[in-house]
Amino acid sequence: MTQVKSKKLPLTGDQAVATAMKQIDPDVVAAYPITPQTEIVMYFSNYVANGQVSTELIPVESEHSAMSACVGASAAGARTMTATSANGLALMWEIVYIAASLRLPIIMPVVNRALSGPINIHCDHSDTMGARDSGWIQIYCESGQEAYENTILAVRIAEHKDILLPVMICQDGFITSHAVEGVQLLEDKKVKEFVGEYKPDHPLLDVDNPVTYGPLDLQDYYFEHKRQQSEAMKGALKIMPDLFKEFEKAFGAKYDFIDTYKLEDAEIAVVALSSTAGTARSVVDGLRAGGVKAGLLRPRVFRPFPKEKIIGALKNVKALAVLDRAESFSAEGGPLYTEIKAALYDSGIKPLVANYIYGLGGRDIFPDDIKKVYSDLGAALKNKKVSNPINYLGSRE
Amino acid sequence: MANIKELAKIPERLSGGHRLCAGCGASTVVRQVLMGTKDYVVAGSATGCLEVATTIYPFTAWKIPFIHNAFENSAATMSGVETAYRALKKKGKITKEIKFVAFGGDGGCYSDDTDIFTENGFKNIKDIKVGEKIWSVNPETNELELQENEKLHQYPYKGAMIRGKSRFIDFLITPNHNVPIWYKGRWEFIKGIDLIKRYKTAFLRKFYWYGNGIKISDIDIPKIPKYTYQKEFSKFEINKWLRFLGWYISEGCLYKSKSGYLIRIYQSNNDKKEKIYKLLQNLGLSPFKCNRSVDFQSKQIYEYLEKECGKGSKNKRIPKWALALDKGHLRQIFGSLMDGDGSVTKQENRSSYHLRYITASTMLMNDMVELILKLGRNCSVSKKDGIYRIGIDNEYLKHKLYSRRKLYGDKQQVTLENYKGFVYCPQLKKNHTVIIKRNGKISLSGNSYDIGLQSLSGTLERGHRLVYVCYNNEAYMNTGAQRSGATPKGASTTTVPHGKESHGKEQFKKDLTSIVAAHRIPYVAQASASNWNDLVTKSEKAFAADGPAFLNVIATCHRGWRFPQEKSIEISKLAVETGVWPLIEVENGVWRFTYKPKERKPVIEWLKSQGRFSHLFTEENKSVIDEIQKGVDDNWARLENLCNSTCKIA
Amino acid sequence: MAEKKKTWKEIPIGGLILKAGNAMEYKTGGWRTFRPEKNDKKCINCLFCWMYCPDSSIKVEDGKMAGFDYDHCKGCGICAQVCPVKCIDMKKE
Repeated sequence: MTQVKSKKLPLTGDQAVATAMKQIDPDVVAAYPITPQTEIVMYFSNYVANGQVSTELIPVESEHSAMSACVGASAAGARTMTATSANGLALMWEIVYIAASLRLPIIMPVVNRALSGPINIHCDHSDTMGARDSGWIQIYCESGQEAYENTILAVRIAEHKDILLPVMICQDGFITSHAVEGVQLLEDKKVKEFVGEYKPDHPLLDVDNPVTYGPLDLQDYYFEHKRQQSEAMKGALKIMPDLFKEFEKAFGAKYDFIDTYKLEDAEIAVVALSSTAGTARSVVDGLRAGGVKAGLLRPRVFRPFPKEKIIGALKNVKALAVLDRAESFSAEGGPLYTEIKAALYDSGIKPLVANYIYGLGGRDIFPDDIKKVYSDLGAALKNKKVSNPINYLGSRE
Repeated sequence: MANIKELAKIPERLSGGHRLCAGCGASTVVRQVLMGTKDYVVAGSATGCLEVATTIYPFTAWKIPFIHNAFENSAATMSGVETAYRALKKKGKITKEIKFVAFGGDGGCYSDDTDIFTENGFKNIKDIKVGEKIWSVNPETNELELQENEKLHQYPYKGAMIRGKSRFIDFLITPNHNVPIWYKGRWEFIKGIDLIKRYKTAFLRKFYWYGNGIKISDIDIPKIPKYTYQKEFSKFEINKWLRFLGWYISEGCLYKSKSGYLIRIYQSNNDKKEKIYKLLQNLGLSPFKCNRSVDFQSKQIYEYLEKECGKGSKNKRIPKWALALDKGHLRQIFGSLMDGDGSVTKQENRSSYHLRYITASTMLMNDMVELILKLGRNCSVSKKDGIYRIGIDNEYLKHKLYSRRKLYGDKQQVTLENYKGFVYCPQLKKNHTVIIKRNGKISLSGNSYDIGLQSLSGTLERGHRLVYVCYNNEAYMNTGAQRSGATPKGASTTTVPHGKESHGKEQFKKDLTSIVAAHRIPYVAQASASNWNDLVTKSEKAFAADGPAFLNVIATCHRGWRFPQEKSIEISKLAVETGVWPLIEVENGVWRFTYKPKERKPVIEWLKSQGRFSHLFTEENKSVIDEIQKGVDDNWARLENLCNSTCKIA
Repeated sequence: MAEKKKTWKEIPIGGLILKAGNAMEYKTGGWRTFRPEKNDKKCINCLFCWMYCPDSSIKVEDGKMAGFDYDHCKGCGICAQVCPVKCIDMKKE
């Protein structure tokens, strides 16, 4: 590691992501403010106003136009970024799908917030979970540091010639985005070197080689175009490990599809995304001290779904609880739960699985709540069955 | 005025083989709009007939880069493309001029006393012709180069203009005019109005010139039929010859008499006389010294000089081929020109010298300015009693204009001045900089960068430089002729059909043109493919606008409107002739009709021609026809009022 | 269009169409019921037919009307309507 350790700066998650954007210095940013993403746009627009970035910032009049303009700019050949939350993401929903189908490497930090209604500005994952079928790569970050580093990493993932898919980098609204933590910044020069120059193959602005983006597909071609997107997602699973390694080599920070804590010999485990995992870690330590073989699995990359890694991590676990900070209203539990159960089906391992939907609309989750989950898992192990497969952790019943 | 044969030379941008209906009005509109610029164009389209039928995978009828995104966001999408262009251009990754146009269904000038430096010298801006070559500076290399004038824009203007005035600079420009400034070691363009906001702005006044790259060591002299036993010259060493030409141009005279053809270089100063004598001797011209001159005889050289450099003080000029040489050569001719008619004055208490050149010849004045600019200096010109005085500036690299500082009791250097009259701007193919002269002061300035409802409104408000074309077929035609905000009163559509209780659409159509004009963008117009010259001219203005431009073009749809397919153009002409579709434009807030039929036809002719109105021709619906006529009349009167109240020039 | 359709591996990604203007390969001339024919003697080369054709199917060479692109002409009849000297006839195909 030849990295010179710079001082840690006290930054909020939003500030950290804005700093990442500054260091990336994209060609075009088209963004619309929405709580709790607003600070990202505000800080970045300050950088623009002071000439600290060369970005052309389009102050669009809605998120629909934001993503539309990003599609236009990215197709034109510019490195493009935007950011949003909740209903902003919902408003741009139509174009989000189009961006992925056009294979445009747009990078979008999303600050997770509950979808209306009723209107709620606090953290839950319903927004990005709602977009899980859009064809975007999704990475969930636990801390401001992780959001910062993964925004930079996302540029290489999105622009990789064999991936070419847009990327969402998610962080918890208010919990991560507005809380101050010590963020270790990476060197400007090294970031620039790592992200490199964007070299698109068929930019609109290459007027000597005109291309058409966004044709009409009749029944005879749509399926094949979608098939290509499927393959690209599968391919991303194979390519991303190389990019993780490259990032580690350049900056010393190690990232993988998942993050585990004391999972190797765990009998009971909790699966949770983003900041809740931080709370869970302290609970695991407490339980371990008491002799309980507890562990934690934190998937980071949700799309593409890293089935092999997850199954591999859970191979010794006998009972697990999947925590979902979103309801998919399937009547069968939340989105993470259903995907993990499906992955386990033909994996050869058959642990007991329970779902805990929690934290909707920013409802706090406390260490005691997680302790209860582990004790439920302990009871389930004893009884050899899960008493309640779907639970609502923290709601007043 | 567009010339159809010239337009036919522009390569087609929308090919055949698309699957729009036979007789579709939309594709004709698109073809005509795209004739409005010769520059590269990137087009975008909203979902609709146009997009769907021209890009059925794997075929595309677009021969230019094209993007379709979704239904209501072509303006936002093209905002993104246009911004990416600006971002990448700023970084030098793109150098071409590209125009942007968004197709959807349901955009700086000089005062008239400015002179422009053309290849034939300074000309008043009003007299610049299309195709004329104009001196400009390449902002990427800071080199002087000639660029062709593609078009001279002229508009009536009344209001505040930005005046820049200092010892070296003088210009009077519109607030939106592009001004090239020197910022952080390179050229940048800002708007005229920004000069007032900035405290000080630097202008670079030293440009580069490398000549046309041809190395000459000798110059050939044409032979003439031999006259007596005179010596015949064939070539001279270039630098010596250039020095000689400089002397001739400044101080030389030609005399023809019985005794021969005499070339005389006047000079009273003995040192200089000796210099000239030695030079001529060196050239082998057999000179002889006289009281106030150095003379020699040669018919061949006489005829050469008469042709190349002119005879008589008012006709002197520097040969064009000499001005095309590189700096080293130019210095030779400059040196002796200055030795001749130049004067050097040293200012008291300062170490700087003031160079001045005097001539009675307009051609020579222009040539000297060209020579001075190429040598990396700058100058100013004044004329008194038929004599030009060219003041050559010391080699200042930059000159600053201050907007607020009052220097030594001087007035502010950047001010607002009221102007009423026409403003002009040449449109160069590249560079977008021109050398101007005003009140004798010569400087570099910019020229028009010419170079395509929610989302539209946002795009208009942000000022993106793109053309938005609404190809208006008055319904959601692609999906089966459903009613839209653009559907006219009384029309029957599939979602608001006529019936026992309905005569079709109740409301008058939305006046999109006025809504867009309310955004105060540089150019808004209504057009029809039937009046192709009007449409193409409007398209040219739209592409040339320095900001967003909007064209609302009626596009007939024989399927939705129900008329025979071959009458597409006839029907759109009828819309114009009945006043249903007035041909108007709004240029910087001034409304005007670009065409008025001598007598408006009654609207019933328009209604009779299409099946979508046929249900109106019954006793119970007769009153609707009267309401529609009143609607057309009221709208016409409203437009005439707008024209009168916004008309700036009496 | 009897040619075999390409697989997902053989087409460009993102739905891009890389060959600008390849719609020319799609012969819409087959749509016609009537075909335009010009009386060369009467033609004054005003080029109105070219200006108004929705299918870019009037050929122009050296400022003169040089014929119809029958591969793409859909027989809409606009050219015959707008011709000021009525030198174009729509004949049954």
